[in-house]
Amino acid sequence: MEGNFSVCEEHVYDQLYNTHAESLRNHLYFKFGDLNQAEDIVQEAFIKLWQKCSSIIYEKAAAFLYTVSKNLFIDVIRSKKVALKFEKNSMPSHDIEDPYFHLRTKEFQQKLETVISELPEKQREAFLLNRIEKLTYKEIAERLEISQTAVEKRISKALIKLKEITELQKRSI
Amino acid sequence: MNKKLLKDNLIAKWLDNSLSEEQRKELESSRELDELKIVLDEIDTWKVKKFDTENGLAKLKERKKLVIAPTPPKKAKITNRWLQIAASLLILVSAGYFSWDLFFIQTITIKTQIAENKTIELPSGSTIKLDAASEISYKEKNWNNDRTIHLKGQAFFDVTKGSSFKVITDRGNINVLGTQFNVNTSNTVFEVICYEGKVKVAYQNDELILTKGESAVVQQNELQETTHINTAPDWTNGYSKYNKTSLPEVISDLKKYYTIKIQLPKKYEHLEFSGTLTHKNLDTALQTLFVTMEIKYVIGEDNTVIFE
Repeated sequence: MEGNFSVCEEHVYDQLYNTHAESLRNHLYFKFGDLNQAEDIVQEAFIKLWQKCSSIIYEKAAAFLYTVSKNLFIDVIRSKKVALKFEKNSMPSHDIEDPYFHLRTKEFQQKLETVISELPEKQREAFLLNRIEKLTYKEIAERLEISQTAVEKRISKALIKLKEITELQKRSI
Repeated sequence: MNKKLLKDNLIAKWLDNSLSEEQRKELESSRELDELKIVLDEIDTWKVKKFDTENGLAKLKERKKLVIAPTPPKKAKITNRWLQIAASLLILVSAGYFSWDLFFIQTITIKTQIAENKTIELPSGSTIKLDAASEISYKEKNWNNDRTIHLKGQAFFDVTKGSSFKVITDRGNINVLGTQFNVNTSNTVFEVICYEGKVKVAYQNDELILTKGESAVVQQNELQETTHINTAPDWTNGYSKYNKTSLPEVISDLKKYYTIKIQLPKKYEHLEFSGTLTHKNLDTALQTLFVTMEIKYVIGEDNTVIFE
């Protein structure tokens, strides 16, 4: 893409929205846990981008959106407890022969959601950006402006927590 | 085992397939992670509810119409010069009146320093919360018959019922019965927000009567009415909200709440800020302000803010 795209031009602005709005919303959702609030803030951030479109170069627009929305979220009153919900493709398995049957029940899936929701914010953010948004550790490091080792550390801790829950589940049957 | 998995972020590297062949084989032969793998495979199929990009963009376009299209900063109009002269004359005259007043009648004056708040109980049971770097004065003698307060800066008033209650400022006057309201005359602002009861605001030849949920602000030298949904001014809760406020104005406000040295470079003077700044933590406040605006800075000795 050429460097001299103006963010004020409607098609450039629209294209930025089409590219970034959903992933921005998801990121905010992982971090703060409220889908509606996340969507409101996406809109707010894009309005700010519009207000400042003459002073923001195209290449910096995404970084601007992430910074602005993070700050906007700090401003709003954090809504209660984080309770993330995901849409699941797989139907719960009914195959009793399956040695991992206990890990595929609907109840356990819900438990996983709760455990992930209760992870510390930074661990949850890094883990979900990796698993749901399919970002590499390197991409997460760039997005969060931290080192790749820091990303690995956050994800390691999240994984250990999940491993512990999985082991508990085994014992409970 | 978990400790070993955390060491060198082994478990994260396992997930990322970035372990050496040897490490991977060792880990897999332990079968320690078999069940976690099943769980992760499951999580990998999860999705967040689809985002309706089309609808979002349509709504955004509606809102964009309401936002003033971005324009380069305007230069101050020279026609304002006469107004400035008139205003300074007015201040001189009122200052003269003020000192005469001070000299002949015993006046009580209460001031706040930077970063200081005070709550003042008046003789009749009314209270005034005085914001940082502000000042009020009043005559205690004959107070119940003449409830007049002189104000510089910003204050929140909770007035008990009684005879009329007047607030006199450099910019405009406020006349009320029992009520709650906030008056801000910091920087170049003149703003009155009514939280309860009725308030009459006078500015030059304009007059407005405010009730609960209404506020008055001077814009382009005219008193204009707006609305609000708050029950108390933000500053009484330790923060300030800004909506497209010019950066120099935000900075001079910050100087009320923090002892800082800050010289804003000319190139940033035309910028506007929208957001909330805390009065309780300088680092947070500066970060919120400058990160949003993408301005790089460092805090030096004696809270001196240096721009890169």
